[in-house]
Amino acid sequence: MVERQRILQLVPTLSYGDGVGNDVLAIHEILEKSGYDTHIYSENIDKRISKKAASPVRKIPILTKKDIIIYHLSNGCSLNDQLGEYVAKKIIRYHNITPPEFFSMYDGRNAVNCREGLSQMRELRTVADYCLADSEYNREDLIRAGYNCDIDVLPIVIPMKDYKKMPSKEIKERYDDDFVNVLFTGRIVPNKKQEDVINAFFHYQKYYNPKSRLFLVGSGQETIYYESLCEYIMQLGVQNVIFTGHISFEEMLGFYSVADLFLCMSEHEGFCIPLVEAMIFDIPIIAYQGTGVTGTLNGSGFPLFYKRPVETAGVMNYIQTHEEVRETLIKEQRFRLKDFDGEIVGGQLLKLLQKKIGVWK
Amino acid sequence: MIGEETEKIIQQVREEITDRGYDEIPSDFNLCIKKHMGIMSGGAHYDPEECDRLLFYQTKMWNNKIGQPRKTGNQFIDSIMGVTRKIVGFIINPWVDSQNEFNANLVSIDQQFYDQIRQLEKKINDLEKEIQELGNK
Repeated sequence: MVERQRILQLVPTLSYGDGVGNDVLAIHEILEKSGYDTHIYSENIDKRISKKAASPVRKIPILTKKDIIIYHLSNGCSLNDQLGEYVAKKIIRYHNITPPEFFSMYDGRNAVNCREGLSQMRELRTVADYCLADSEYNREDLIRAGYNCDIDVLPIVIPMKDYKKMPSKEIKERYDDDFVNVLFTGRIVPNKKQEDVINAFFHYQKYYNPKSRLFLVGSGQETIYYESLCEYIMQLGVQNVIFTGHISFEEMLGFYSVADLFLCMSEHEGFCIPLVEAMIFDIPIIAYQGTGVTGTLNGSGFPLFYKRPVETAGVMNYIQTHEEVRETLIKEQRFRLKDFDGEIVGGQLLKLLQKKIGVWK
Repeated sequence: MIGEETEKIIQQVREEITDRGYDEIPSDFNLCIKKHMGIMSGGAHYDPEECDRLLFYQTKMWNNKIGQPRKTGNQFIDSIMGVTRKIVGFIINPWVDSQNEFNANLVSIDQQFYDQIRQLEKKINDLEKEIQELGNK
């Protein structure tokens, strides 16, 4: 009897609702629907995820050379060191690792973890048979690290249907008014440069529109970085800056549904899912270019090449007061959004797996 | 949005900023960070080899895991240890976690200092060579 080929996804932490977690679950769904024998293994599994889909790493069966492991690499952990021990073809799904320099001033744990992760990422170049980077920037990162196997770019699989859920009524009732709502979504971490978002918003509020709010949606409120941001807000005297902290998905949809502008000043992103989320909600994006941001926008959104807070504020005002520019931006973003359609990305994934790694059912 | 269009808009925005006399209001985020940071100082004998060894050890060992099974080979003892770990976990885990946080901060600082020292060493060596070459001329 010919044994079936198994496709395992291996991820250190399987969280519910974060970018990597969604990507893992979406790939699982694509493979399962297409009739492959697939399962997820992780060291830490979110309780909200079905036990049918994911099991602890210790339950990985004995593998053969025919089997395939899709390994999701996004931070430093002991599993990175163990990957080479599995007898199977190994695909590295690279989501990027934040350079430790961003954390070194604020958060030793993250700095050490990222430093360890980057060193392990370099070591894994000898282990990988094939890589799937979720952006061109990530692909280049792997090449810089010395990977010489085949590397293709496949965007993060985003569960579009989830965004059709009803946004939180409470948020809509509270904030859907004549204020201009500026939004940035992302964990409160130094590489996302929330201080630059605050500074640009401060100039916008002071010079152009006092009736404005800034929502900084994302977890991470027990850090020196967060405390420093609060101090900065006090120093500037800027009003209506709202840190939401960790919120439910429906609440997050609520903030997207009331936002007028999406402002991203991040200096390091592997892919930046919030940009796609802003596209889904037809919110004009203004984004500082570089790293994964440039590739994800791919010419859509309003690009910023410099960090000049007064100019950024001026651009915010321009987009807000020129309907035709706003419409052009939204039209281009809608066009770009089509590239992230789950079915298209799913089809690309299956084709790549068949062509590059010889997957069969 | 394509380059030409954005360049036009930016140009208009710049003109408007100049016309209205808007200036960037200075602010210093670094000051806010410093308020929340501590300064460490101290001194010890410097041994590069020892530093290498300790740094390697630190990087590998900073993250204590209470849930990490240490198997004795005896199934009965292993299962008792497993149960005990689960029972005391909720008391011990927060302590282990804060210790790990502290360890990680120390390791990070050490790595930065170490990198800095290595860079300075290289710089000093290069300068010494240069001085020697100049002296020989």
